[in-house]
Amino acid sequence: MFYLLELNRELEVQPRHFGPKLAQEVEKRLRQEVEGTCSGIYGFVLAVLNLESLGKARIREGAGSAVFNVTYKCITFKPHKGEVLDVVVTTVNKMGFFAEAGPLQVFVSNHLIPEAFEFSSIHEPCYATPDGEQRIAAASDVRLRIVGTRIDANEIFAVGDIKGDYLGVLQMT
Amino acid sequence: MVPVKSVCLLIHAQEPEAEEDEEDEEEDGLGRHRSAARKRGKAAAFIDDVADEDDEEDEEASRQQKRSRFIDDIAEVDDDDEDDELEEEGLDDLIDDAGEHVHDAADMIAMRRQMREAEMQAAKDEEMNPEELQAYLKDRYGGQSHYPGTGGAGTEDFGAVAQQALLPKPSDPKLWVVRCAEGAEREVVVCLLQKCYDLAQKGRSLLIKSAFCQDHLKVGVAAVRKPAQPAISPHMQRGYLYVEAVKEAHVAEAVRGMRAVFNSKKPRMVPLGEMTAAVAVQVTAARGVDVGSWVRAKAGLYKGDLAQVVDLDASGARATLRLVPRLDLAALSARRPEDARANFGRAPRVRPAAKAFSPDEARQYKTLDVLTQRDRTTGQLVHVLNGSQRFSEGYLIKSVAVKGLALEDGLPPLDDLQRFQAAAQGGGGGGAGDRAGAADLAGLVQSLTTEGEGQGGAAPTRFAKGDLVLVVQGDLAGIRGRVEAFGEDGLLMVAPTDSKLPGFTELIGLHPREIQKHFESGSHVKVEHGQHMGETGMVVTVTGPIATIFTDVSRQEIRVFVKDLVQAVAVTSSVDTIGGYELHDLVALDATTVGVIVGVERDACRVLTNQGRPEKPDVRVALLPDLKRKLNNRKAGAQDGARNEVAVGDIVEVVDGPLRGKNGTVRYVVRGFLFLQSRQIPDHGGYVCVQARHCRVRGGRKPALTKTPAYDPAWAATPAHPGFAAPSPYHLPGSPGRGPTPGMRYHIDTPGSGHLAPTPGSYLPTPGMAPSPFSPAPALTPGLAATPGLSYEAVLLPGGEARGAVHEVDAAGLLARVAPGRQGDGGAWGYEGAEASVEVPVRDLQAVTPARTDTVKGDGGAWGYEGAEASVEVPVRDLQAVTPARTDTVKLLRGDLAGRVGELVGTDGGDGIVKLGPEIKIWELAHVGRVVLPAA
Repeated sequence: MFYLLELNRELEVQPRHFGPKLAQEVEKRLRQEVEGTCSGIYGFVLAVLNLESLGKARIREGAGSAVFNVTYKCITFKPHKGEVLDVVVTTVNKMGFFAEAGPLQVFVSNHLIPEAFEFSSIHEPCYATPDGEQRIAAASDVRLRIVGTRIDANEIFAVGDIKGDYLGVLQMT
Repeated sequence: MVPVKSVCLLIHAQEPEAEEDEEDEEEDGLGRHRSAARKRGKAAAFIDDVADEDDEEDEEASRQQKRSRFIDDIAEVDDDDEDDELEEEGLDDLIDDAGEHVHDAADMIAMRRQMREAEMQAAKDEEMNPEELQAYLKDRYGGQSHYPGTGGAGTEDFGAVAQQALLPKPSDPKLWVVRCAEGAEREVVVCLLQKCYDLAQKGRSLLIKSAFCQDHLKVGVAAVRKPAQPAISPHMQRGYLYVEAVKEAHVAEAVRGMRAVFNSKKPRMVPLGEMTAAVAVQVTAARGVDVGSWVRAKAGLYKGDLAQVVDLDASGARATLRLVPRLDLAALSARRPEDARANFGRAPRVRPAAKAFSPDEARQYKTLDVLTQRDRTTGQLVHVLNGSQRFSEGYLIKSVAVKGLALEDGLPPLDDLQRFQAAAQGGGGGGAGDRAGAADLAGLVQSLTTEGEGQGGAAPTRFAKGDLVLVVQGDLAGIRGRVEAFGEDGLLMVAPTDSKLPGFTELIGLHPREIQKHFESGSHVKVEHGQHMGETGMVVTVTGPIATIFTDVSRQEIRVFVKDLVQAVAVTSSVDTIGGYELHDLVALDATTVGVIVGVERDACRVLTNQGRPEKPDVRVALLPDLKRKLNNRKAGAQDGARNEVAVGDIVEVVDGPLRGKNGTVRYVVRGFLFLQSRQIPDHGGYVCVQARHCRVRGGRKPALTKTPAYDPAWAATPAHPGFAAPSPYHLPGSPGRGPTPGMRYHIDTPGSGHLAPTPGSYLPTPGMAPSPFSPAPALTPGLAATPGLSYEAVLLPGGEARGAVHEVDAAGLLARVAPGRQGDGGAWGYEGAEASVEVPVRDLQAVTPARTDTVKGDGGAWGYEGAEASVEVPVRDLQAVTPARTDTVKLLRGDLAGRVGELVGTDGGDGIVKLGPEIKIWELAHVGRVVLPAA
């Protein structure tokens, strides 16, 4: 699920950036530091929308750098159990397949793939129905339901299920 | 309460007749195996001999060992006379099944009859369950207690207080320790019983109350005992028996004349406080081997193998096992009969693999004799191999001494069980589907668990507060709940959380037997027992008692018992260690080899070393001694292809070699090698070892468009010329909007050489003089050659030679020409006019855009967008030939015919069949590019 959040962060800016472009510098630094990260609480920070406030910076004594407490709006993505996601398959193996939904990696075990699908490694590893109508191989688009997430300090990993109604391959490759 | 394993006789001198009756009764009731009785005569004789020899106190341990086995058997002496015709049986039947060394018809008949009888007896045995046996024993012995306080009816409630009342008082008869020959304890006890009978017949009584010995008293026990143990601690050693009597004289009288008793040593009295310890049964002995229990052989061919007890003889000394056979049929058939004795019971030098027995397979060996019989009691087909080994349903049925078995603590690990179970289906080829197999196994384990718990066989599940549980037995079966507290009497207080019981919040007291742990798929768990102990992972599915788990670290699916799982906190840490090393540690294997531990097994680990190549990683199995030390060079750095510093933690992209295009995080840097962890690599936990120079740091400060040395060991030895370190990345010829003009000549931009416009006269277009740039590059690794879009085609030779290499490309779509004398320069002019996918590094992002190369220079290709709106010059190594389809006009990109244009008429695996005018050539598809001919 995507969230629009207002978050805080302390940023330290060296004195050499002090000047008319300070605000831009802060924003640039913020984007660099925040975008693409993952926190266990908020999920993946996808994009910083805008700086809400820079606040008043404090000068660090001795170093001369300024510490801003920046409030910013950002879009985050955090997967939840039960959520239905569209993903792109990255690798397929005997155990199941891995897929990605943006920064999130999802594993779908062969136990959670409908029985009709059979693993085949003849040409490229894939799961396919015997009639060949549906085929899950690398780069396939798949709709799945998340059955569990593991949230580490800097990574989120999910296990998905495509056994339900309306789940499965979205498009043939 | 389990029957005491040691021999114990209670002698009631006052009523010898009654005792005798009861003894007989016991025989019938317990349905003792005849085999035990049948061995008696022979074994007893044997013991007599031994006892003669062993009047000394110092005996060899080995001999005792041997002897005690027989005593084990003889101890079960009873008086009913059995048919003695089988007396001649060899003593080696201790190792193998007794009845089956038969070679002639008479013996065979006898054997069959005897087997039938044994099985009927066994069937009788099974009828008596432990409760009945317990009740029987209580009935038999409970009323005859010496302790007046508990005699008769009060046997039901053995509370702590009642137990206290059972303790011996000073007025009770004393326990005396009698020294005898080691190993002869049982014999003496039996002799005392006999003596009691004999005297009773004469109308006299033996004045002692009881006599017994303890089997588990071993020398080794002494070491474990606390030093605070009192001085008299005879129960630490062998060669003692206990006699209960009021006076020492009675004891001396009773044992007088017995040859195994050392008369020189006077009986010593066991102090009152130690009497209970002397009688106490060893705890381990209490949990005995039972029918259905899982055991492992301690020695021999089947050492460590899992087996199931299918039958026990009445004495509990011998068990019939079901094993997955380890047969070497070839060796067996080659064995000559005269060697049979010599080889008997000897384990083969090479241990055959455990495999289900297949009678058809065995029959293929002409010398092997396979008999098929139908068991009369069970109706099962039994195969008899060479008249000595019996097989049923693929399993070997074998009778062994219980002493040689180690009882499995609870249910065996799942994989062992699986292997055991697989043998039964092994006859069918074992080709059952994974899912079907899982279901079978689940059923098996379900039944095992319930069976096992009934007999106390399975280790009890440990529940903790907060565990989610599923009620599996009783009225509430199917209800889910959460363990809230531990009640009295071992009950668990469970709060139902099931939607089937809305509004019901009262705690329910449930026996641990009635519930099992419950995990939703997706929950994060840790394995607490078994082979996978310590691993954490996410539950994928749960089928009955088995859960499939996707592990966090090794990214494998494992199957474990639900009871072995506990809910784990979300953040996981690797617990896989071997010695002081952990999974994913960087270790040194020898002076030049370092590697990352990518897998840890029980006593070995797998190490991904720096000696392999990305397409063929070198993963070694290393034992603990092979791991020399842990490396911890967090500060080590290396330079990537663009001479950017690479440090641990950086994200890099592989730009060369088969892993081209993969991204990963640098975990370790060692001597120019990077150990990356990448989500795009499924093996070895995502770890891969690449050379630093084949990578490019994401966000590297220096523009990363310098030449990388070819991915090639030969090149690896040659340092790149510094002159190439930093050419300007993009040379936009003319204004950006201008497309490449046909006929316009581009010259290589040679940084460092200083001149940008060599005179056209310096090129000699004579084909004969031009070194063939398409000569097969000798040093290319095959794995790479197959990769389209090879970057090393544009490799410049190190040194000045390369710098001067100037390619002239003429835009008519013909061959490029090379300045003479530039030996071995593999230019990329083959691409000229061909379509290529271009990876454009735009702020380090990747964009793959199909484009047509119009002209190609030595290190840059100018390409036009669709519609030739703009052109950008990109390095050739960022070009990737567009794989042509059938009937496309193609151009050969490499080889001696490079530049020729033809038609692709078909593909064959990785090769393309190209029609070049009249001739047909087979060309590697990677070296064939689709070409867009200029509109004529």
